Amino acid sequence: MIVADDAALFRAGIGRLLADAGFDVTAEVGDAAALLDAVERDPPDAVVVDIRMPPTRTTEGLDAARSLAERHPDVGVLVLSAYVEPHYAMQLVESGTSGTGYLLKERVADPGELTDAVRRVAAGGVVIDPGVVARLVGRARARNPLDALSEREREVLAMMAEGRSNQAICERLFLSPKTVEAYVHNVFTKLDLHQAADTNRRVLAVLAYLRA
Amino acid sequence: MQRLSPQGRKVIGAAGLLAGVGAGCALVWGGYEVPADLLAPTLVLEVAVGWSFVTVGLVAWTRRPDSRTGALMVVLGFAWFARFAVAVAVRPAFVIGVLLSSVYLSVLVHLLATFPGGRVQNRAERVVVTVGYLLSAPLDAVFLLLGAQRGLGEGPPPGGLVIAARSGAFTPSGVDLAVQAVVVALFLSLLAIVFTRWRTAGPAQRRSLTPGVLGGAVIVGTILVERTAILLLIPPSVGVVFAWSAQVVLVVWPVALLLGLLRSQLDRSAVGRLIVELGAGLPVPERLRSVLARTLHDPTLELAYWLPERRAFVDASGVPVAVEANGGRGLTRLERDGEPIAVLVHDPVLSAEPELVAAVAAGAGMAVQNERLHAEVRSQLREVRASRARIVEAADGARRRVERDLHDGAQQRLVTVALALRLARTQLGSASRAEIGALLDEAGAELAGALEELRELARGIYPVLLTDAGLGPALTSLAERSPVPAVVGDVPARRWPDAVERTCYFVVSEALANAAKHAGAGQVVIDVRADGGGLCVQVADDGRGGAEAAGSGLRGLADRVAALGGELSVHSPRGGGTRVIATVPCG
Amino acid sequence: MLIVDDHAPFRSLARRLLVAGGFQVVGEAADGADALRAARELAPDVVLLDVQLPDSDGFAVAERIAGRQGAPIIVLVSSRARLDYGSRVDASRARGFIAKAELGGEALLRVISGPAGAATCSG
Repeated sequence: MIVADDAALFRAGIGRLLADAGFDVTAEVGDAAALLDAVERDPPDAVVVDIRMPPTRTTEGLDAARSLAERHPDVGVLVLSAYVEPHYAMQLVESGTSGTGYLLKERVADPGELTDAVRRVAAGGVVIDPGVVARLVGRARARNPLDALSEREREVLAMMAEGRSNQAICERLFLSPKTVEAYVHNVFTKLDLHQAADTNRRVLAVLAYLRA
Repeated sequence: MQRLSPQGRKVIGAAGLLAGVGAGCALVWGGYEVPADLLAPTLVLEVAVGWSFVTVGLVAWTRRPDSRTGALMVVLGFAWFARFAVAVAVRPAFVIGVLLSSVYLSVLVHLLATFPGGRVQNRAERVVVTVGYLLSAPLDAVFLLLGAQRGLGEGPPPGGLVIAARSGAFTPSGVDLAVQAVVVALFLSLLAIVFTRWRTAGPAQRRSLTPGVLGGAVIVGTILVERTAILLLIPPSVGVVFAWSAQVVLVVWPVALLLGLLRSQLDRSAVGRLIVELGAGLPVPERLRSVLARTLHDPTLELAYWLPERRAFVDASGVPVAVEANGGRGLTRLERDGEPIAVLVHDPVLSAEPELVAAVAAGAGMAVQNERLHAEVRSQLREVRASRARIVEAADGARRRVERDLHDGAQQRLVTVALALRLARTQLGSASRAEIGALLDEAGAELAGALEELRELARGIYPVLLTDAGLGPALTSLAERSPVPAVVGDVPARRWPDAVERTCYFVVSEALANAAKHAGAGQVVIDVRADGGGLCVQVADDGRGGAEAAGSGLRGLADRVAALGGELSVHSPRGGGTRVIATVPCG
Repeated sequence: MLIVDDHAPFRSLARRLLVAGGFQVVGEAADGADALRAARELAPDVVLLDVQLPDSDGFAVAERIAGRQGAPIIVLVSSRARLDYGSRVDASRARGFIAKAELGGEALLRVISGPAGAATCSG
């Protein structure tokens, strides 16, 4: 596990949280170049990287994620950001084949959320911050196709957008796999979406639908 | 009136000379007995009056070809001589003489009623002039027919309207009296017209009116007294005195008329002076106006310049002015190549001399054009100053809002967190773990609230996506947050200069906020397209419309857009939605 | 005493802090109108009054409460610093001013015990 953030205190805090949760933090770095070097030396299962880092403090984290996706597609990348911007999340998911995540910084206040996200990313899954998904699901629409969904179906839709697998949705909503499958099927039918082949592509499809 | 050619002038002059000689001959050798003591003065006066009108009329015609007065004076002179046909003792001459006996009076009425332009300008003038002509030849023709029926035969001339009958007992018929009454009424109307014109004239026109009007008033007054005398059945011998005095005045009057015409001619030379004066140096603001006011003898004259871009009139300092033909002011529009450049707001009587105003305006043409450009610059400068002040004010307002939002929002919450932590600290020993935990959760919730508020505040101050990803993603994000459903059309993926993207973004942001706050809109459509080298952004909602383009939000947007040399237009018909369109050039 | 502030979490924490400091809180109010009514009905000895209220200015509310017979002691609080209000605090009929972050039983006691103390204890 590698943590990259230019704010030393925040970086140390993340490192400590991850270590406490049983992760092996092999390096803590302050910018994207150092991160790439560290990954080159000793590829970890996943990296946690701040979206804004020196030198320009704009989207270095996203750029690093893109580079890593090319050179080390099996290293999961979790980007921490202060912005509730679906645009960034979409860019991230589109840039990597698997193992990417976009999480708001404030989620680290709940160590459980951070470690859950890191675990999913390391395992090749996709993580989209619930705040980002909520923004997309909740946006004002003139003719809202989401109105056709039941409360539960909307919940399932949001969880799909967050990158959760059917299995994970079962666990979170305390439902049987069959029921969840039925909900998922209903959502796709009602929204006139094609069932995606895997969870990650399903995230893209749902996000793209919500943004359109 | 046509300009008089030198040949024309010679021919008319010679004809006038001959007519005078002919009239004299008719008087002396016509065949009627004229008392010897009367012959010489009559001869001199009568011929002098005719020649005076013809010659002075020719001068006036030549010097003021724009006025018909000169021509009318010439005609009057010939009409004057034509009366003397009656002095030739043959029947055709008698008939002609009677028919033409009072035409000169009709012409006089015409001349005076229309002085100094010589053109009928309103209904009252037209009535007076028409009645004047009807009372001469046509009426005399009627009298002639009646006289023939009454068997007047080859008797002495009936006198008609011209000279009171000189012989025998005077016993006017009822018809005669009625005619005289109409004549009196006509002359009274004429006096009224002339007096009104003189009274309402501005200084410029009064100057040229006075001599002619005075003379005309004396003549008409004399004629009036003479005719009133007939009406009052006073013997004609008294009238004769007046007729003589009227003739004396008639000799001098043409000169007075000429003087009047030449006085406004002097104003024409003022145009020359104007050009010299303007040529001496470019006028400072206001000076052009005062020079024009002096030239036109109208101290109240105002000059408004047309700014085609703003579609408005402004004064010399660039302040917009309303130009309307109300309040009894006269307007003269100055044009160049069919495009208005300015308008003169002046004393209405100057409208009677459009040629003079036009000549002055033409003389000042370059200066006016030049001054208009200055006014335009000043107007733009004023607008820039005003918009700069508004931009500063808007920035200050935005800072105040940020300050308030920080205090009322995030700071309030952080204070609460601080208190919660302090309370937790003081209760560490006494309270249960659960109580302390609840307190810390409270602090955590307040912190999360503070974070959320800070995030929104920061976004409002500057959208990070605009610099990182460009206009398209930034607008999409804006639409995703909009409380009113908003759709963003395809935005060209390329980047524009920062200032252009920023301005377009804030146009959309403000328009969206308005649609949500004021328009009660159900949906907003945002459209961005490359427009030449620049960008065109359109935000259209389906709300209630009626948005004021001068409202502070839209005004601020217009200032922003204008600062980049762009243009913002707002179409907001009541009940028809609002469409805000900004066109921003690049570079 | 009476606590007047539009931010509920602050009221709740202030109440607990002041109770812990030995004060007895008889009521809370969220805006100026509420404050005037509560001050009349509950007749508190001390009113802790936020300067920024949603419906009115804290100074104005202080003026009206202080104008009554047997008026309570008024202590202004704000998330801003005392300096932000210039001389308005001194000119008001409030006994003193406490910056919100420094609120506590002791700070309040200091202000109540004397105007001289009030000037020194607050930011």
